[in-house]
Amino acid sequence: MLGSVIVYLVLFTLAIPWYWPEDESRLLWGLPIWVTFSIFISILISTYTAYLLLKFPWPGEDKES
Amino acid sequence: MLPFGPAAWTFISVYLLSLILVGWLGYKARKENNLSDFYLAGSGFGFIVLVLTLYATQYSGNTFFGYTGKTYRIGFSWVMCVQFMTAIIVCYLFYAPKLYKLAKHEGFITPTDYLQFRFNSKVLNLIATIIMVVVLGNYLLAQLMAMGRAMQGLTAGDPDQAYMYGVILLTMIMVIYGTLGGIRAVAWTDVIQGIVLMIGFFLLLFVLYQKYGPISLATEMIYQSTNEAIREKSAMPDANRLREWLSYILLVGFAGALYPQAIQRIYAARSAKVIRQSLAFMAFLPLTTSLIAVICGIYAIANLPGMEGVSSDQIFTRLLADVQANSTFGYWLVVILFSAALSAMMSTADSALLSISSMLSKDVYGGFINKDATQEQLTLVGKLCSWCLVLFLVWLAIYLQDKASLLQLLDRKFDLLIQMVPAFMLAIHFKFIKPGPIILGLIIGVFTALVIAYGGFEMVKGGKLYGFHPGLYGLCLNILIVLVGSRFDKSRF
Repeated sequence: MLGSVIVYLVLFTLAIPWYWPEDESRLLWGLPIWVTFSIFISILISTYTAYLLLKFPWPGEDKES
Repeated sequence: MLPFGPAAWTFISVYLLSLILVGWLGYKARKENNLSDFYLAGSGFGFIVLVLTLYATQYSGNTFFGYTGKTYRIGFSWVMCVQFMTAIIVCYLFYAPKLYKLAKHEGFITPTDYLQFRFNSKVLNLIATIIMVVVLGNYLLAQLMAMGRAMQGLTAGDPDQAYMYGVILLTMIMVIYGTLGGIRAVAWTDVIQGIVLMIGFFLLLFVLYQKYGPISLATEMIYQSTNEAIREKSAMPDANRLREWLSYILLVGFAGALYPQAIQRIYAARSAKVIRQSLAFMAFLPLTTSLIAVICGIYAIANLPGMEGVSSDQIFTRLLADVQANSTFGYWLVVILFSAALSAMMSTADSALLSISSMLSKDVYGGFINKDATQEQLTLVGKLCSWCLVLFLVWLAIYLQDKASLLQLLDRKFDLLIQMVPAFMLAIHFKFIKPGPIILGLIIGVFTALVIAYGGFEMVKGGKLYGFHPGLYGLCLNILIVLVGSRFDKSRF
């Protein structure tokens, strides 16, 4: 649980573009680079969340089957 | 105004009538006349129904109209909506696993059932119910008004009349299928509406690409605009905007995961595996839904300049009118897109209405007024509550048509709902948390949020204090009171 919290803290921190230079104006795949990177991190957040949901059963789940 | 002809009207009418048919089918499919069957469909939702009902419930007309408009106003920074919508799914992980197990074991129907189980406090039940009903009532009202504005954009007649008839007609359809078939009807119509939504969003992207070219072209146009105000929308967010970004993720993530109608859908799932699979699928939907709304806004900045100051919902309608073009294909694409927008509003509104009626009947009527009420009586009271509430909200939606500023004053739903975090997300893990501090924390949290929001302080700009939403300040105090108070609370519990 603590490990997952740390992973999420890191990912959401990276999703917010605070670390890019103020005058950043490069484009990547048709969008400002900081936007593209933010979307990429969002994909990672979604993937990690799906991994946690699919990989680990919830409490009492084995009794359901 | 979008010029829809008779064929388009026929399509939309058939679509709306099909919802009433589904309501009737839901009524026929009922197994028992009790709360569990009416509000949770006997907890039998499989993967397809659960994922589409969660999807249709979570993404409202606000996604189409509001997010496009917000992007138009602030620019690329609104990509933050992708993260805060994903954060909702992340926040479910904090409490849904344990809550689901408890709900199955104890037979929970409303969110307050969990609070009663955990804290056994009538005072807390009442306060929590009031907060959730107020939040959902505001949410429902916003959808009714959006439905009225959507109809205004569809017709050539008097706009006030179009608004009024739009609110009345669409609301009546919604309450008919909702009270006929309960959550089965709501969920089955969500399946239809969810499919129309998904198709609608992808069609929208295709249509925009056809009309305006690749997104890189729109970005270049914004970058090279001679208008500084437009160029600024592509600029890096400043410090205040970055704080706002974090604030949205926290506020919407935690509060959005506590929407009563979403909690009840967790209760309604057939199994934990079904919820896990549904939420795993939902985790990717902000990338296909919210992100597309942002892309719409970017296309609008580049190709529809000069609409600053116009209310946000008109940007999306204006986009649709622009892409309708002179081709039959474009025309029908817009008809489907508009049906998708109506779907989004109705699917969100019907879920909010059903959730409110469950809380009013079970928690208020059954909890305080008539504790010996039978299941049939409670179900009937729930249906009556739906009708009474809807009549009141239809009147309010028509009254508030031109009083948007007043509506904005009411729009504090996330700031209020987030105050439930300690009761749901902390107390389910930490047994030392006691009811007294939870109640006090809730009251202080709500009070703090409202004082910051409405206190008229100079430092509060755009409804936020140094970039952070009032609800987050309230939540900090709330959590402090709960943790410290519970440690020192000597009462036996």
